[in-house]
Amino acid sequence: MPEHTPVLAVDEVTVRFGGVTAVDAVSFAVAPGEIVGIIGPNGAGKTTLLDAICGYVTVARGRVTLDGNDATALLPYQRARRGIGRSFQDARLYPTMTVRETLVSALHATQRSGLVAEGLRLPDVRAEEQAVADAARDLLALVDLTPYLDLRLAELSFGTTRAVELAWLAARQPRILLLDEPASGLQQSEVRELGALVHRIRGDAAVVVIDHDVPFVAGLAQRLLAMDLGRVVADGPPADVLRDPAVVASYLGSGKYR
Amino acid sequence: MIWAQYAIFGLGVGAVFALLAAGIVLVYRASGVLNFAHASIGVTGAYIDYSLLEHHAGLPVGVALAIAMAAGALTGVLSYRLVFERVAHTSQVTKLIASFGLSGVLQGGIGVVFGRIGTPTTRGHTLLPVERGVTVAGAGVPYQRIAVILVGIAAALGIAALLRFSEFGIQLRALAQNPLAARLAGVDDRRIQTITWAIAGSSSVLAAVLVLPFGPFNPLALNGFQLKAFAAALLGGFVSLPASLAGGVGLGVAQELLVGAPAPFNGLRTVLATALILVLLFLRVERFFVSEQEARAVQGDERLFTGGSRVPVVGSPRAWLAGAAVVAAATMTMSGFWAFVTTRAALYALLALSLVVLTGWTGQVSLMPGTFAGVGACLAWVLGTKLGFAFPVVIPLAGLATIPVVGIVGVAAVRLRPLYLAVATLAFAGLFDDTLFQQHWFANGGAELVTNRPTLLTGDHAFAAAVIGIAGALFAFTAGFARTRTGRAFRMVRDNDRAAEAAGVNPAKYRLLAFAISAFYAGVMGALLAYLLRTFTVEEFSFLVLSLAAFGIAAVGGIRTPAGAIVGAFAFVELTEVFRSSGAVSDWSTVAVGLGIVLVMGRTPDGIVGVAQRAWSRLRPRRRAVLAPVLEPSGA
Repeated sequence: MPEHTPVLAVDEVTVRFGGVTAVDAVSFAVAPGEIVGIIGPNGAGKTTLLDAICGYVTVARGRVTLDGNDATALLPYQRARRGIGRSFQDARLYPTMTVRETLVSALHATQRSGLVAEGLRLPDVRAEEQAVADAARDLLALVDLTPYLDLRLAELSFGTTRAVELAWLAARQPRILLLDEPASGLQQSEVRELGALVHRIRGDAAVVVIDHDVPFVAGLAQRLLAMDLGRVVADGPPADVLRDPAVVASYLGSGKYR
Repeated sequence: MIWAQYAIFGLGVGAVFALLAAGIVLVYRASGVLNFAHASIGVTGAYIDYSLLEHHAGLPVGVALAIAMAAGALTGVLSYRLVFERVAHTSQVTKLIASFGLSGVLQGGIGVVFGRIGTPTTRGHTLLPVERGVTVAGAGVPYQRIAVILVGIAAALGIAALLRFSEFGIQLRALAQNPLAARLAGVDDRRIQTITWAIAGSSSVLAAVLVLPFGPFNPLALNGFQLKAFAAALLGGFVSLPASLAGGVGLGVAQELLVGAPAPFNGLRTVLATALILVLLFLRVERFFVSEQEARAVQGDERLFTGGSRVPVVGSPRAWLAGAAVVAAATMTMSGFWAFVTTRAALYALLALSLVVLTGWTGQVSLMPGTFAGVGACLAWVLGTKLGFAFPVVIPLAGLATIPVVGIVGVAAVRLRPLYLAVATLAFAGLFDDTLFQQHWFANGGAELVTNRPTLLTGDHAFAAAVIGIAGALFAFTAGFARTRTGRAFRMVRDNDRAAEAAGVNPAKYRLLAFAISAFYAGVMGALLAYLLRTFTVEEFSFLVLSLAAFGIAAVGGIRTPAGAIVGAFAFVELTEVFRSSGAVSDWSTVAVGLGIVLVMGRTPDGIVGVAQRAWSRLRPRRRAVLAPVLEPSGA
């Protein structure tokens, strides 16, 4: 879809930790609504790439563009407000909060009220709080989490926390979801359900998903990027990428280790 | 040549900084505790040394020192076994607060046990006679000075060598980097930590005995040295011993050379350590001496209070206002004395509330609540007494005047991790004590300050009603934002600041906002306390008196809930009244506050209120929904 402005464009992005180049001149673009999977062995630089897109690590070189606007200099919370939604490998979120409050917290940026109005409980604040509470309840119903409303996240199983995290992501209606190993720590049966859940919550948002579970990513994504040692080694339809000799080599180990 | 003398003095204090820093680093690496009570252990030993020599004439100084160091080792081991081993599983911030408690127990305990020792003229016993010495570059240098340099540096280097080369040191470093793997490889965690605390305790006593003869001898005498030792240890990120030792000696020499500097520069001496701490923190100098991996391995979990079994109660703003009205009405029926006591409790509750917002909800630790209250109290004197402003003008101004201070400290707050922020606030608190609180225009040069209550509120009953009304309004305000957008953002930042950013929350903004709210409450509290007391000195707003009490109240009552501040404050004020009737008010209550912190922290983050809440929910049948897993194959 070259006629659309990509929702996310990564241009020659390089990240270095000391002397190690974790991400090496990576470029790719994500069209609106597109689902892109990124696969690669441990240390390929997948999570670091997501961190660079979100602004958690600074890039040594290159640009990150959101909807055609340069976001390279923006802080993580500013990028979040420009439409990036990010899930985390640990799915820890806010352990002391209840499920209900976690969902409401996702709507922070949509709220306008400030400290003084809240402290004085002005009518506007009450109305706004009521609105976000209703929105949160509706969302939880969508992902069948209603029975968990008043439990704290620390009390939930890992799979349930993952579902809460996805609902928390969807609540913000981001333009693009960045999912960092959503299948890790889940049972096989849960992984099968996860793909359906992602489709259900994403609306028309684009998705970038990284995971070690190649069948899961390949099944979900319309396009696959394979990374190895910080570089993109293949980019294309899943079936083609999985057959690519460079990808096969990176997973099975190159000649020097054999 | 006078410069040579300054340099030798500097090497002496520098050696003491280095020795203290070595103990602090050792404990931090082994137990993850940034031990604010390190100097207190040393002073405890120094008191033992002193009283041995006072009461047993003819006892060799070396024997007394050995006994005192053994006592220091025992104190260290007991601190580990009774306090820090029990909070081992908690966050670093919890351990930090527990160490505040320990310092209260020890410093108050010194007062209780040794009574009146420590008048301004008391000096510790020197190891060598002060009258004898050598002449260096035309200046007389007592042997004791030389002994301090040699013994101090040798001991510090000894600790460094132990860590670097011995079996014990290797096991300690293995534990610090990967506790699980070290234990699996057969390292006895408990044994290593016990030895560490013994070494740290006795080395702190050695430092105290070496240096205290040169200055006033009192329970707080070593605290200034500890601040400098923190600055030195910071150079090595609390991990690298060589960097810490070099930092300690360098700081000591620089500080003493400044004494001989011409007029405007010699004043820099008091601000040197603070300036150094801030520069080190901002430039993150430790990264040149410590690998990222090594630093991260020790740091462990910095998050605060993610445990706890319930969502803490907050209460509605209306309930708080109604409660305040009831209490205010009740004070009308009390005697003047009890009305005064209740007013004091309300004020301490307000100070503890400032920690609920800052520490309990936002996860930041500041050692400045007493400082902010002191600013408020002095402003009550400056604005109210000297400039004649009316009470209703003075109180909000006293709160707002803390905001510029927050601006300066807050720049540090938003950038620093919790432990480093605590060190930065310690440095700022010390800076305020040495500068602003010494000024004649601001604090009457440390002498007595007088306030005049407004005509309508002269009586203790009327004043009680006013204070309880103001405190009640601030509690209601706090309850107002606790469970809405701002309060949620605080807890998001505390629980997981990356996930907070991912939701569009600016962590820097909310850390700063929590700091500002907490400083405002403390400033208002300080001004009201100044009016309540009528006469006071800035000393009553020092860390040990006021900040420690605030931490104790919040920890015992429950630091995550405003109700905890109330419960803790009333318990504290009642307790001090009990001690007042038995004499020795401040020492016993310092011990009690310290014990409260030590016993409660780590067991439950929610204190008395948490226990009550749990008991209450057990009385009521708990509705527990039958939960089906969400991510389950739909067909199954």
